[in-house]
Amino acid sequence: MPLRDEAGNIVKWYGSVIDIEDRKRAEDELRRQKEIFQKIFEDIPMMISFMGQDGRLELVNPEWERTIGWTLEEIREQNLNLYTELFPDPQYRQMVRDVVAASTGESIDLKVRARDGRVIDVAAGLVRLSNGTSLGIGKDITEQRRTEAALQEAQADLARVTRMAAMGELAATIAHEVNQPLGAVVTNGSAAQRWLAGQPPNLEETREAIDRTVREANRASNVIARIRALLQKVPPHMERLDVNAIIREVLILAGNELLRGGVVVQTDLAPDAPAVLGDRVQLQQVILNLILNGINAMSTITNRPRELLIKSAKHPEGMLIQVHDSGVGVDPEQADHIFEPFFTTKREGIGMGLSVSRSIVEAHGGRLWFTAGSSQGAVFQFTMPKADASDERAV
Amino acid sequence: MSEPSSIVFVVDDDASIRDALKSLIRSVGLQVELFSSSHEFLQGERPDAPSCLVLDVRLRGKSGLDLQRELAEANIHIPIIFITGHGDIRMSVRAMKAGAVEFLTKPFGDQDLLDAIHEALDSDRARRQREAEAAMLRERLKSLTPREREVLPRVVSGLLNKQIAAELGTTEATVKVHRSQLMKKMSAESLPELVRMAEKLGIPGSKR
Repeated sequence: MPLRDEAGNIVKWYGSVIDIEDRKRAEDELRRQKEIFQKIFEDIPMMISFMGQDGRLELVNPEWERTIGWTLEEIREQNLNLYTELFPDPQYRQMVRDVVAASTGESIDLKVRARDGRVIDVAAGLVRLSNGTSLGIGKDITEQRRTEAALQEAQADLARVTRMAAMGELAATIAHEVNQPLGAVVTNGSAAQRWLAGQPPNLEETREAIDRTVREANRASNVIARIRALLQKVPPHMERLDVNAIIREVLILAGNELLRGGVVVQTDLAPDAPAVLGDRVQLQQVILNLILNGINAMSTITNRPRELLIKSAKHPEGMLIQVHDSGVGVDPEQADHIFEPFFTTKREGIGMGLSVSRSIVEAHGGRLWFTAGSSQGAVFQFTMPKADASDERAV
Repeated sequence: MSEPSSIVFVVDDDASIRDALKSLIRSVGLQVELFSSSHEFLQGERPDAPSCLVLDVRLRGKSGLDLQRELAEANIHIPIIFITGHGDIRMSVRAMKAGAVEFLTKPFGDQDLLDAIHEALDSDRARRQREAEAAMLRERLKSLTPREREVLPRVVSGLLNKQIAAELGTTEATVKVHRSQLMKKMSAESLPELVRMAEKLGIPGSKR
């Protein structure tokens, strides 16, 4: 209809129509955006807050107030220092201030003290707006964290059950390993009694039977000692240790085995060795294992001296401890397996010695490995990190 | 008696158990031979003497129960005493059903083992005697003539000479001669003795 009027009027009229349509559309859009924001701000279960350039809270949404327990009004009226309320630990508080000041948009997990004193886990993200203020969005993940923790515990339980099952198998192995020498003890003991009761008593046979009894009893007790060490869950007691002193202690412990194995021991211990940080009993156990392995490796050697050389030396990492033997050495085919649990070349072994030794050394931050001896035998060696000056307790 | 001295075989893969058993068994004057595996035992020579086998159930390679079965299949009737580290009931039932003398759980009492060994050797000795006797009887039976072999079952089933003569279509006098010949060849001093021999040989008519 307006098109039929004069041309100038029509154009104007026409233009004015467009103007109104545009404005209306812009207003609609604005209203829509406002509504979106309003909905997000009020109904979405996320904590939303706006902070001024100075980091002070300017606006929070209802979810924020519900979760934290304070309303913005209360905070303003009571002139609360919000940061002190929410983050009572000064160091932690400073960290939060820094995060707010940076507002890099990275997500961060915060521990927030609510009004009722509960500590809430909040997953939050802060971004900087163009006017220099910050927008923070957070979610209460306390419940989720608790579920995760429960789940983790359940998994730990499962691991424990699995371990128990493995223990059951281990127990069967132990029963066998202990029963064998015990059976031999009983039978040898009985034989000794019978040889002794003969007319006349056969003392030579009696003595041999008693020797075997003692040997088998030791074998049984060694199995048990190894198992016990294996099962001990006592947390290691870390202290400053003198490696050389421990080597000397272990040599005394191993005295009988060395004597029985016809082994000559030499030591080459580093003077003024630095103290290492470790658990005394575990370190003793590792050295003893290596010595017993060495004795065993030489048990069949008859054409050369059975010599064991224990060396300690300074090492960039701390101390290096070596056990050289003149035994049969390590079969290259088995070299890859000797550190695996239950791998053994000894008929009375259960194959835990090297595996346990390696875990102990690694738990101490050291390494355990072996090399072939220069002319024969093998060298088992491991490192122990040195103790820092800050590690208390003198040796 | 000029019987060879008894011998105890021990099969155990644990050297210290073997040595201990050897000493214990020797201490009561018995001869012992040690083997570390079923295979070694099967390969080894077994002297012709009363013997028994002390066998570990759990062996590397062929188990003790396997060895028991193989020996039975090969018709080797050596009495077996099982020793084991675990008192597994099912295993022991299986072993005992298959004819084991005893099933001992380590550590066992020395007397229990020695009693079992003596029992096993006694039973082996008796078995050997039975077998030797049976072999001897079979030899004697072979020496009979066909006619005497016809007369024998009739004699042991209690027929009179007259009845036998009638059955075989011959005279009583002839039967009498056959009868005395076969008694002599079988080395039987009396009819009851001949009956017992016939029983051992499984001759029909001997069991009424």
